[in-house]
Amino acid sequence: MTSFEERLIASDPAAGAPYTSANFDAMISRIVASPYEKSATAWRGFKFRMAGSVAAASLLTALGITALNTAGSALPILGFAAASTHKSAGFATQSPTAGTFMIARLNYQFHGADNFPTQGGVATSYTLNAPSDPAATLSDVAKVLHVDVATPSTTDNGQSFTANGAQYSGWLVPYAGYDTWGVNVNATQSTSVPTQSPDQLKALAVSFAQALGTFDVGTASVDAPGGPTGPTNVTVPILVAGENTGMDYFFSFAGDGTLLNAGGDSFAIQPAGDYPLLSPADAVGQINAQFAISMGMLATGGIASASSSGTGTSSGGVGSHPPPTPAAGDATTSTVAPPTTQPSTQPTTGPITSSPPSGPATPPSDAAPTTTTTLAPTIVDLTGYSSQYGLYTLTNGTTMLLPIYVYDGTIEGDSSYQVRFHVVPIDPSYLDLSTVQNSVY
Amino acid sequence: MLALEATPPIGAYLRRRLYPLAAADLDDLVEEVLLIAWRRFDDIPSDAQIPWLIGVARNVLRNAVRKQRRISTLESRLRPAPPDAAAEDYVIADQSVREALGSLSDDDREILLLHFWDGRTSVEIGVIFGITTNAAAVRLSRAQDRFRRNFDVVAAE
Repeated sequence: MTSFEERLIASDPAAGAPYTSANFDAMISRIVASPYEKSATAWRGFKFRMAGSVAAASLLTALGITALNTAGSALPILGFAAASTHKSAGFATQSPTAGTFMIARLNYQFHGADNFPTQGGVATSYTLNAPSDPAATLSDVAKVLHVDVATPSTTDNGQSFTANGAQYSGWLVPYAGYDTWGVNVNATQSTSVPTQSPDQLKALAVSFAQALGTFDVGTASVDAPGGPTGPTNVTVPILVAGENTGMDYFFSFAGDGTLLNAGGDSFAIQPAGDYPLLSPADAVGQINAQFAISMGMLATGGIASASSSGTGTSSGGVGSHPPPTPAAGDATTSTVAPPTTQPSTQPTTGPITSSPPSGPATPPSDAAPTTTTTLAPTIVDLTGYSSQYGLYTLTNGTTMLLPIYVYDGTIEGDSSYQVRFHVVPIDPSYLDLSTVQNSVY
Repeated sequence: MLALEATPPIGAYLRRRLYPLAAADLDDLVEEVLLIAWRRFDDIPSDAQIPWLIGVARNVLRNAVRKQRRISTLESRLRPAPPDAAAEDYVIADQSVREALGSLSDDDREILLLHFWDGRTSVEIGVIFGITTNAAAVRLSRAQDRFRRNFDVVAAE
């Protein structure tokens, strides 16, 4: 190395003093509680990346909702799929020493829960079912969108389907409980003279969304990042029982109304039971225990951020009925139990039994030496809450739409630091969190 | 995992370029970078996480410095404007290196320091600047040549 390079390197003001955060744990606690962008961007990017190799065709499977008679029966326990796919596991975890794990439990303490309603309720949970014929689903989507794509085919034994038409292409990937699809125009669209107003394009998108399934749709949002001559994007949220689901359809139009891209998921929902809910005030006490699932990130394949389509209607509501049983739970964080393996007297699938399980909780077994530590509390001032649905993958492989409360708040002492927590407020007796870990360092 | 791995290089990157911000701002800047990473987790390229984060850190730092300068301007409207020096001018003790770096363009200086201080390869510099690896390699080579020439001149004086 020449002298000038050596002297340049020797001039590094940070050399020899590696940076360490003054309080890494507290920093991570604040960060992972902040709302993340539900990655519509990544999801759509994926769709568009797929576009080059695609072509679609199919038939939207009309499964509808099959009513289940759950009234008067007890409910299956909901066991959540392993939390290893949770974002925080990839963001902030590490095994500090080979062969060992340090489980660091995130620890939030909340102020303001007593401002929320203290009445619980019941809400219907739903199971998602993917269409039985993915190729036909893709063809049907294209038909609804009035675009011509060729017959879909698969080259990977059904793991994905593509179809390449003259003007449009389409693709579909089946997941457990739903199929994700995209339709894209093949040619690069030159700038078009806007002949359709944003409101007209919005109405067109809503009509597509309504034709793609029988779910209710919410208020569509429109944005035109490229200005008046660029594409207009319309997102149409899907509602179930009048509640947001975090799922939507996405459409992108040229100014003349030509469809450039569309994306969504196809599935049907089936009621899985009317579960008793904790009140918004009490459910705050579940945030720490549920943190790994509360971000809605357990479902793999990006379902938590995916748009959705499908068929069927829904019934039930979040908190819309008086609770059939007293809501359980404790609103104080001090009593939040760590994730436990609870030997269930009820199966997570199969026959519905008549009462919630009980029995002592036992810690999860783990072959590797494990150290557990609870981080210093991060104080959160809760400012509001709302209810909606969220998608979760269960241990039995099913994907479910579960009622959730979304709490907004700020870090105490810094009102500009916005944080958000999602909680499945179903009575904890019906939740098995044994595979859920807050965080593993 | 990402946060633990990324914190040292991000912190070092920011500390090297922190002026005119205060040392007390460093943790806040690192947190802001990681916060953006969290919010855009799905956008982070799995094969270039640290370079992507350094790219974020560049923007975060630029915004923070801009904000600081606006505040400073408001606070000292009637005073003479401070010299618009680069951070390196305040942290590099080696006068020859400092002067040779000071004669480079902002981009040349940044590319050079990313390589020699932050240990980034051409591939990673390409990610940080949003340019191809080939373009990054060419620009690094040119920056190196310019620095060498300037350094020789300064050192000979």
